Amino acid sequence: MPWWAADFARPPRAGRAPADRPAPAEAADSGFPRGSVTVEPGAAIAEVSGRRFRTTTARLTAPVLARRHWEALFRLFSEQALYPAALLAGYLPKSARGDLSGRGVRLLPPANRVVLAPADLPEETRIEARQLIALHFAADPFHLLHFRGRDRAAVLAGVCRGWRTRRAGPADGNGAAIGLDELEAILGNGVPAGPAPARGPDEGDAGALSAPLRPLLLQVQQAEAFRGDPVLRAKLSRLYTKVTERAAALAPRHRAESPRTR
Amino acid sequence: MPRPPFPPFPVETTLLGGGRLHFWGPDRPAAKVADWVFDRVGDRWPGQRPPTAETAKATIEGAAQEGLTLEPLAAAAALAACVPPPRSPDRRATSMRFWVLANRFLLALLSRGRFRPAVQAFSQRNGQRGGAALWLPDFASHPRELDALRLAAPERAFASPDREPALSAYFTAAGDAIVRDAARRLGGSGRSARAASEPVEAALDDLLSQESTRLSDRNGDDLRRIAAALGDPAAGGGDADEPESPVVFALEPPPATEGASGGRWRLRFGLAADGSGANGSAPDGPAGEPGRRAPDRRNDGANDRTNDRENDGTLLPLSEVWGTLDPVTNLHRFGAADPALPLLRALGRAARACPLLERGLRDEAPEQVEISAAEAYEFLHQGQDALRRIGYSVRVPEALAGKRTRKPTLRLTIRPAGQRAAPRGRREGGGSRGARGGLGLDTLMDYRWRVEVGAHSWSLEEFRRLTRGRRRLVQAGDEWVELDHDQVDRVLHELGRRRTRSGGRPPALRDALRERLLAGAPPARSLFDDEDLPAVSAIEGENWVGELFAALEAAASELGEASPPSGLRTELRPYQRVGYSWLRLLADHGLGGCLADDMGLGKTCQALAFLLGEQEAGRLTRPYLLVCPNSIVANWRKEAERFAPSLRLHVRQGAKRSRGEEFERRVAESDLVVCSFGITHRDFDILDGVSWGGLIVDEAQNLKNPGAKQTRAVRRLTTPVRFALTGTPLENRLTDLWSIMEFLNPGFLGPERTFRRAFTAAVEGGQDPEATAQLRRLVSPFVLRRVKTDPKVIRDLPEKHQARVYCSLTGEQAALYQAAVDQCAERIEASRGITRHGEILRTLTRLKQICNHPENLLRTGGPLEGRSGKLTRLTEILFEVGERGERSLVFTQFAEMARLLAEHLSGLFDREIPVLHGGAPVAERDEIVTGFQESEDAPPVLVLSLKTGGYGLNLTRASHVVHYDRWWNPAVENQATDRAFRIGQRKRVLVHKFLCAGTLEERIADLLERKTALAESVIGGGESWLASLNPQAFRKVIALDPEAVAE
Repeated sequence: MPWWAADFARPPRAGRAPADRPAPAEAADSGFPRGSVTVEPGAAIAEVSGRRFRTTTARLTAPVLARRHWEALFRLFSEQALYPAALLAGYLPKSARGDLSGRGVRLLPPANRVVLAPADLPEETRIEARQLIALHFAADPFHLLHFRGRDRAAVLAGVCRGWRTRRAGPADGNGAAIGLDELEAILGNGVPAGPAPARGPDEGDAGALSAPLRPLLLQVQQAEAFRGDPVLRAKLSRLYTKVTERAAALAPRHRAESPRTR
Repeated sequence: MPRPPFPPFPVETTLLGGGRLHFWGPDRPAAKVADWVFDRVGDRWPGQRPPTAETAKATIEGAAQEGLTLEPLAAAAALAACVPPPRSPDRRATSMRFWVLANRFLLALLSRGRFRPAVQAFSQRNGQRGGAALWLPDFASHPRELDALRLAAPERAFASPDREPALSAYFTAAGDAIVRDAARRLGGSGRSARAASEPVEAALDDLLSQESTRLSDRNGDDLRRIAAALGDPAAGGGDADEPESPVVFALEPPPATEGASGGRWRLRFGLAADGSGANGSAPDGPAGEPGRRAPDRRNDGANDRTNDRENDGTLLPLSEVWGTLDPVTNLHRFGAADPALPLLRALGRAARACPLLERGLRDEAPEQVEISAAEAYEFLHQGQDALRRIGYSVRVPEALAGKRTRKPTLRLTIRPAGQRAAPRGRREGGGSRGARGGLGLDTLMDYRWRVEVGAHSWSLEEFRRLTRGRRRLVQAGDEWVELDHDQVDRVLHELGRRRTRSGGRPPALRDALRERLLAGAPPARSLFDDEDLPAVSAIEGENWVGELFAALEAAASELGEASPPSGLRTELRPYQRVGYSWLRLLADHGLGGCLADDMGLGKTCQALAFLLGEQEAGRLTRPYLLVCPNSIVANWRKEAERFAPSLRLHVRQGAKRSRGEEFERRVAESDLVVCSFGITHRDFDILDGVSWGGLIVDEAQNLKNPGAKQTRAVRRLTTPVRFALTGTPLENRLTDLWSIMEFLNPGFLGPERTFRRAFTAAVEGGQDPEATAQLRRLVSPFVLRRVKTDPKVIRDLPEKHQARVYCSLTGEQAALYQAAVDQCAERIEASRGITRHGEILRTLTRLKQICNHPENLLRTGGPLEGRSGKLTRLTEILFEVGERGERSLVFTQFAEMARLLAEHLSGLFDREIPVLHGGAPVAERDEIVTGFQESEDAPPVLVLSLKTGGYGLNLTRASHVVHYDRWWNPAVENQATDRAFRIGQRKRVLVHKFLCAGTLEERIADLLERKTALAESVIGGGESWLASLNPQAFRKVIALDPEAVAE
């Protein structure tokens, strides 16, 4: 568990004796907790899947960072490329904690300000909820920042703004900075073929999707409504006849092989 | 005729929320706009129901604009139809042109298969549960096109200022709707009347239905499972799916002037030339789409690209990226309007894999990180591999690429101390004994050690200085090399060990030869201690040392065939000339060698040729001593007289052998002194007082016991050159080998104790091929062995080789012989006619019996061993033949001798040796012949009576024929020989004709050889012609030469 998430997995100080409750690591190893987490500023909502498909919702809350803290964070992150680089790569160097602390920012909320509600949750569920949330934060530190008040886009915008300010460059080119002819030239380079058409009907582990995808693609390619586009029409003209035949041949076969009818 | 404009009035297109498009005309009623759009699409509206032409209002640029609002699917169809016909004036508003282009991009993505199923969780904040499955066009993997669209978008193309998410929303909504519509045409919609309980199956149904509704009751866990099943990278795709990054890390060593003093290395960050610029892609996938594979615009494989890029010297510094903030410029240069974020992400991924980079990212615009040499080493060993694994290119100095760690090895150049002159005078046409005499195993050598790493080489002092502080990366000239310090330690340890071992003693030729012969040998246990052999990569010789190395390591056949000495009275066969060259080579350098040719290949001849060659070259100023078993002393004398008559020979034999001044005089008058092992031991003090030119030991297997007195005596004799002759294989009896090598080249194989420890168990046990190979490398230059089956030898050999074997008489034989001669002389003189004739024949028979063995005459029943020179020699030969698994026939004309031989040989071989004689019944004879010829356990020897066994038998299993005594009738002897030498014989047949030197046997043989024609005419009847000789002539024939007597 990385440092920025580990605190959230820690069991509460009060409660049952340590011997009576599963340690978080053990809980993770044994295949649970199961569930999902959604994050919003100041809250992380864990849906813990319990026995008999019963889902329990736990809400972990903590105060969000103040605006001035965010500004301090953006300043630090725009001064040192390491932090945005690491964030974008899905981690945070340990030095972030100290560097932010040096600027008066507590990235992790104090334990006494973190509340897990509802208060009457069974102890086991509380542990599982914390574990789920910690795992969620561990997967992407942007989730933690979101929990602390700003989502990914806002964080990146803040960092970029600070960075651009520091670099004294021009503002974002939000306007028709390039002409449509130029745009057409750039888009006109074409889009390379994706992998799906290359696969034959019986190749690979058809599985759930490859079979439905193939005729679907053919159908997309020959969609009448879009054939008024001359570029598309030119691209599809040679394929049209062949594609129609194949689509007709493949469609019933696909149905027979689909997981639904298997 | 001019075409009407398209459209007839400007039509704007603005994106509203939810991916809907609003078509409106600033100066036209909304209905006109709607009509025009509907006209364009006609009846080709997609979806189950065509849209209605009702108009609506939308707030655009702060004002309400009435027009036609279309849902994404219909909007996409409308845009596809908003393309002016050829040659029609384009009157579309820029917003419509923009959206037509954007739509075309979307359709191109879809038509090329660049869409995939995905799942999106709803935000709980909005009160929604679950999520939705959707078809996602792969637009996110085209950041350049997306950026271009964003930068080209006119004001009126978007109702919202937040263009990027709006554009994505349109692509997502329209793409999903188009694919679902296609699915509907395939009959996918409504395939499942009930909601599938299994989440993934439910998602599939959902994806093929007109609207995404089936996942609303799914929790996050289910959604993750669905995403994983759909192959959605957002569900946890790892780094394996990451696109190959154009970010390159280049390790640069400090400038040469700083390197030696520990200058800082630099790890530069940059972009590969082909990964940037107008045709390149963004530095990484989009920040919001981790794990999405960027479209591969190159057709070659990933490995090739990596290699190409890594070999491409062009590296665009990141300062170019950080320094350009203009999005249009960025788009053209780096393929993204804002390449900083993707680039940061790429650097972040790299730093996560290689924490060394983090320090370099502390800057706001990172370009490089300075690292120490130790960190550079760490990067080479771990960092670069970690980066490559996740798709980055890494450039390192060429010398540090690939197999990075270089093992230092030692190169030794050996030259004569003080650049001693070449030993040979031979080729210069003269040569002095001084040059020869000064060389040998103790000749001092000068060692020059150098340490090599790859192509670089340092003196020891330089290398120690270089590796001080255990630096792993060191500079060699303009290059940097990485050292394996275990190997460095080994090299330095090895040198120290050598110094300790030698005790400061300067190296000698003995050491040099050992170094060279073991160089490159597999590391077996050392001959000298318990450690591995040294890490010496090459050992070279300078001056004559180099020539000696080359000559010793060359195959014997490559030595060339020296011209035999002119005084040699026989023609040397090609392989014998090679042997002659080899003996000369070793002698030139004061080295000893063992000529170990098979019996019958002419070792004696080659040794005599060598001595003659020395004589003719003027180097035989001191006599050679030849030591051999007593039984072949006579043979040596006779062979020397026969083949090298110019050699002055002195045989030191018998009780009356010379001593004191007489011995000195005789030695001074001789070129070769022959004596037995026994005499050598007994007369050691006398012999050791002579300054010998060299020492040759025949039947050198007699030296196999290193502790034996005779061995010690022979080894103690001081001679500059030593040769050993033996036909007994040496390879499998290692102590014998050591003993002989210790005689030839003292100290070369180390002390016996360490030799045993190193090789005896390993080689004799046959379990250590490396030890065997090592020993072979050490010994092979000093042992020349050719066997009769060698293809090169066999073509030089006759089918049947006949050789005289001269034997000495023992004292007892000599006394009996002399007595018989004396008696005979009196009787012959006293008799006449037939009486004298009979007396002569009786005397002949008696003398031949005495030559054979005293018991052949006396029949006392006494012991056989040690009483007959012939029997001793026969024993030696048969033993050697038996050792090689070959078989022999021994013919004698005396039935009694046949019995005695069989009795003696039975004891020797510890099994019954059969005798084929006239008195045996036919059945028994047949049984003996069949047993010898066919039985797996056939005896090694068959003794035959000449008259009985000489006719009609087929005994081709034998390849050696011994005529123990002579019949003096070649026809009879040939008949006997042909028992083995006949059809069916596959081997060469060697015929040993035994003669007692200095007796009637030798004289008659000479007589017959000289007067063959006469002999054939007169001796057809056997020995009866001797009876016709006059008494004086006969006495001459039978007289005993004093030298015929062994001690």
